[in-house]
Amino acid sequence: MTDRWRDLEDDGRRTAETIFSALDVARGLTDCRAPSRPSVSAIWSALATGRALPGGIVPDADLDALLADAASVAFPRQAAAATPQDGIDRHADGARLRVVPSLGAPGQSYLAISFDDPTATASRLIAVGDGAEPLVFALPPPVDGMVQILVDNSDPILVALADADARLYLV
Amino acid sequence: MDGISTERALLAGSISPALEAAFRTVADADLGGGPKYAPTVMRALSRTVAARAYGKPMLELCHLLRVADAVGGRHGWPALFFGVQVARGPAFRALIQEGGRHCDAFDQDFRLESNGVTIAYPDAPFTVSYGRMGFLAALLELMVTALGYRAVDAEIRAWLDAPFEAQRAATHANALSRLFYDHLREHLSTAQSLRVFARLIAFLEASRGSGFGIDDLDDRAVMDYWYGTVTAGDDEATELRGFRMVTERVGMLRTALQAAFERHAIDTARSVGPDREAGEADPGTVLALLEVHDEEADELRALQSEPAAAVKFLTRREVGELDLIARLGSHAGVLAVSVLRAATFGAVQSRLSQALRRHAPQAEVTGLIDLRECESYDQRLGQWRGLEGRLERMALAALAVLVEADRAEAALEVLARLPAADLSGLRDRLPSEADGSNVIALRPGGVVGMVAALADPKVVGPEVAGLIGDARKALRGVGRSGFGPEDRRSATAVNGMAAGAPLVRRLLVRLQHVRTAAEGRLSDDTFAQDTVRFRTGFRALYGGTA
Repeated sequence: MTDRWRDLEDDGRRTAETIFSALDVARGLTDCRAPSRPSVSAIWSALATGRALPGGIVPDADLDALLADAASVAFPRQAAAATPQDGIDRHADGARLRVVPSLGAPGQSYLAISFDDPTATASRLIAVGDGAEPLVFALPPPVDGMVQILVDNSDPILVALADADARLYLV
Repeated sequence: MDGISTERALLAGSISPALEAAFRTVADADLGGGPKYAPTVMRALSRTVAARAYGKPMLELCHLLRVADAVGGRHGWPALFFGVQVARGPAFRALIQEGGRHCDAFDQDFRLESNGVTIAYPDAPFTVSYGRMGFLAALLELMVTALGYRAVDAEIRAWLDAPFEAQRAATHANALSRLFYDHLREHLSTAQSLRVFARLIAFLEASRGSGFGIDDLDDRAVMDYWYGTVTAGDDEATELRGFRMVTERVGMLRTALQAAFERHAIDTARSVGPDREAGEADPGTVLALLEVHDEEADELRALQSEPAAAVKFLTRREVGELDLIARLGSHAGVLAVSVLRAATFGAVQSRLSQALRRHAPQAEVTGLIDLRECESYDQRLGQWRGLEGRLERMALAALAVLVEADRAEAALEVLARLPAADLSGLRDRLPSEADGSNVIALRPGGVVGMVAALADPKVVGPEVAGLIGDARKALRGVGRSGFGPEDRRSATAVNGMAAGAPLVRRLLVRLQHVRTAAEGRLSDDTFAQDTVRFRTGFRALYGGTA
């Protein structure tokens, strides 16, 4: 076996070069100190277990796709903006979400979610708008396929629901 | 940016910030049970990515995706990969068993084996081992993080929608590989690394002649290259200006040349034919060479990975002190004086770099350049002796815990320390079906009470019993997590001791080897001469005051 550089032919030298650069790049990857983002598994795990979503999530189409796969119901963007005062009505496969002004309690509205399947359930409503972290709203257990909550009109969830571009997910 | 920080940025320039962030995101993933992926898994992943050798793993991944899709219920494949809290074999096994119970067709298409899951394709079954799943999950999470969920999911869905046949996996694995390859082509360049390689080779050819060999890659080469580069004022040669960086790269070059010489010898031994004419090493070969030559340096990462991570064998500072030695692996002894220089003058260079980055007062910078507070070699060697003592106590204390827990690994540790020890006396402790020969089967969870007899001089002799006595004494003096009486009752801690004891012992041997090698090569005036050279080098790099 030779151990002199001059005795290595071109392919041997290329092997040395390839191994060196692979070692160098591998070290670079393991040593890098770039700031990390919330991992996909941390987001998924939070959705699956009911834990709080990690901070620093930046909404994008990939997050929407992930949420859609994790959710029991995904509401698409709606055609036009609405206000809680006007009433919000959004439909999706599996559920309907409405916001109806309360007649008895001025300044408040009913957030009502009705499931097509009366045995279906969801513990959280997640609203994802552009440029902001997802907003998570805890839901009580449905009764006969229906969740109904009285919410102040200034509540961020109603503001988010009024955003025509917001994507909504029942998880 | 100055000095080492510039150097790091330049070297890191071969990896895009986006890929760095993706890799770090996966490495830092924590679902509440500690790091999801073990440092050893991330190291293996970095090697696979660097060698671009993900063809075979991608095939395994496709098969595991079949399993994941079956056990994931309504959520499909992500539930297994993203839902597993700590990506280790037992956790995957538990989730797959649980998911399989809720999947009606599971038993038709899958078989749970002791070591993994077999996918019973009609054309050819394929088994994915539980031990491999952590790595495959890390690979998938890196792809999803780097490429986006939709892009990866689209390829995965195409595979899952394809007919249930093993032969189709290769097509879809290739599609995933291409996707990843195209991304890495934009985000991972080897240009910087190749430039460093070329510079080091050019330096060696110029200074040692074209007949240079591995033996020429020694402490003198490290110092000559570093000093020559920093004092030449060559603005082009900015890749390597940190002394520690040079030491590491010379170690890498030794590894690379060793691998090339070995391959050359194998190729030469073969008759000339297509293999030889193929020329470039294929990714699988590169990865295999990396694993053989680089994996031995993973002791520190293995200590920080489960199961050893359950025990606090080392403090963060001790990890830092051993880092370069562990990275250099078998080359650390040859480069012992460089390791010593890196630990002393290299540490000053690191502080200088930090001081310049935070625009520290000139007096502070000047003090560092003039090496006013540089640790001497004698001081550093003394620190290493102290660290050796602590490592020895940790390794002995772990041995005592293994004896206490009646674990057969204790006997293996004894034999590693006392190869000539006669443990045949333990045979009498074996049950009657033992074959009566002088062969003793050592396996975890052996025979109750057998290992405890290691402490009995009448059974194993005074030398072994004395070692166990020392180990017990060491255990009484160790207060780190995992060694306490309560901790030691947990199987997790004992498993950590079994995994960690040989690692600590090997690190101790490496450190002792480096220290004694360095001591043997130092003369009375080495430190004084080096002080002059480093001061001159730092002044050339960072601007002198004298």
